[in-house]
Amino acid sequence: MKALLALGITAALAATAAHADGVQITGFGQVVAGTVSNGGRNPATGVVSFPGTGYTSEWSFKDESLFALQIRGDLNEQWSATAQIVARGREDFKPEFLSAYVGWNGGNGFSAKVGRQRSPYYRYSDFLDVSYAYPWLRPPHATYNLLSTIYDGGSLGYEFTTGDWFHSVGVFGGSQNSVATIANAPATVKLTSLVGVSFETTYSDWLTLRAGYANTDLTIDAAAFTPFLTSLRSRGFTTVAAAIDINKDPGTFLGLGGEINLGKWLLLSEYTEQIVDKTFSSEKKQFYVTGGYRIGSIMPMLTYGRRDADAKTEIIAMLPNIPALGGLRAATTGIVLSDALNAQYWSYGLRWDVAKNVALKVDYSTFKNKTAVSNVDADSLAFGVTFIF
Amino acid sequence: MIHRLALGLLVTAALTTLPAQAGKIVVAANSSQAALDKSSAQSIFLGRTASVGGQPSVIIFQKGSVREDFELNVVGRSGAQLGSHWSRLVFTGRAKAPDDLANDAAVKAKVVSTPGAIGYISDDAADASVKVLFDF
Repeated sequence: MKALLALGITAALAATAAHADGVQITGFGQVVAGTVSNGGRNPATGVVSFPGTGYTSEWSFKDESLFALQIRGDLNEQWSATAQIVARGREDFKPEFLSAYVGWNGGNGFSAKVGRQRSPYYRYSDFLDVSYAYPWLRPPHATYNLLSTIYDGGSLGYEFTTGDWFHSVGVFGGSQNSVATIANAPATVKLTSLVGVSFETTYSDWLTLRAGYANTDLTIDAAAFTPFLTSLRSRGFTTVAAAIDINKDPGTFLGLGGEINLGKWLLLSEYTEQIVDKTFSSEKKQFYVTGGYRIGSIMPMLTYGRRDADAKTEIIAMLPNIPALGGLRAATTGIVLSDALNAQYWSYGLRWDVAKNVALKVDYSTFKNKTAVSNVDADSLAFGVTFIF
Repeated sequence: MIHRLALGLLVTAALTTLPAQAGKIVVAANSSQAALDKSSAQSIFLGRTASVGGQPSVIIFQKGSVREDFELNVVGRSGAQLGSHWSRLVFTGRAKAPDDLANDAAVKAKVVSTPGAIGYISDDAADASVKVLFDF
């Protein structure tokens, strides 16, 4: 794979030399050092963690570091081909294609993309890994927590202006398969019949409003849950298993966001809802609000975030409350309650633009989640250099 | 006393940094693009206008001394904020990365040779090869 990447890049570079106008290579990246500075220990497993990161109680220079190249070739005035290759420290810098699409620019504001691309769920979805493009070191985990961030499919976009308003509308559809880690065990995440819309509008360059909606059929095959689901089914509780498992179940996502950018003052907020019917997955309502103030090239910022969700306890009641089923009931209770959320985040951040394409960032975040089965309190600290070229 | 001195210094600083007419937004002399007002100039350099003079727009930034005045008076954003804005367009595939040329001469050469190209140069660099669309 590495040899292939090197070969691809060499070929692209050679092509650039030959057709300087036709191929454009740009890139972005970050080197970040971070740690869980306090708490975060799971009493059952002893594992120390902080949500949205892979940090432990040790300092890591690798977990959030990444390097990416974007190669864009213009096929003609309307058509182009773009590939984005990202190597993350978290995945041992193994390069992967996060984008690989053919783009069409039809003029008059119309555009289309076919191939692998970013799912436009959030305000910053399209450039999730380009830390240079947003104020924080990492987007607030209170809302930026979906397992799937890309899809294979097509999208249509239309940009237009009315008075001082600049609007951008998009529709997209496709599917996606990815791997994830759930409860320290491997899992596959599969989205089929994914369709969605997004709308963003900017007024006079200081006010931005955004809305996004998507739905999909979701399947999550998690090794951590398989033995439990098998046991439920083998004892005849197939309806209970079906009410818990995530197997082609309808998932919906709603996101609303806004930004006020008054030169020195910056206010950002996003609210999201995630629902996966016919599964143990709780109905999540979450938001963050960030305020920042620019002092020359330095911007200190403060972010507050919350995630709230009630566990679907009605699933537990589907099992008869008899001593013979005690073990099964306890396992069901554990899984159902584990998806309740009463979480709060505070993040103190700093962005310092040291050059036109380099920003230094600091993030100190605290996380608390207090539910019937969880009492987590964790702090994390991270420093990073983020850049584009 | 110290307050009055500080006030005096502030006033002096404010007067000396008052923006002068510092630069011009230009296209090729034969472009059909009409003159711009500030908000349409801003919209072009923020990558929101698909065409210039009926051709797909080719945005040209430059590193010369006129840059700061351009950032302050036309786009109203610092170089870093502008970089961050363009990185969003480029890494979502919505736009090609704009050219970032060395100086006035390079901008004029590119504007004259490229249909749809638009750039900015310092006041005294304007000549018959280019058409001025906006003074800043």
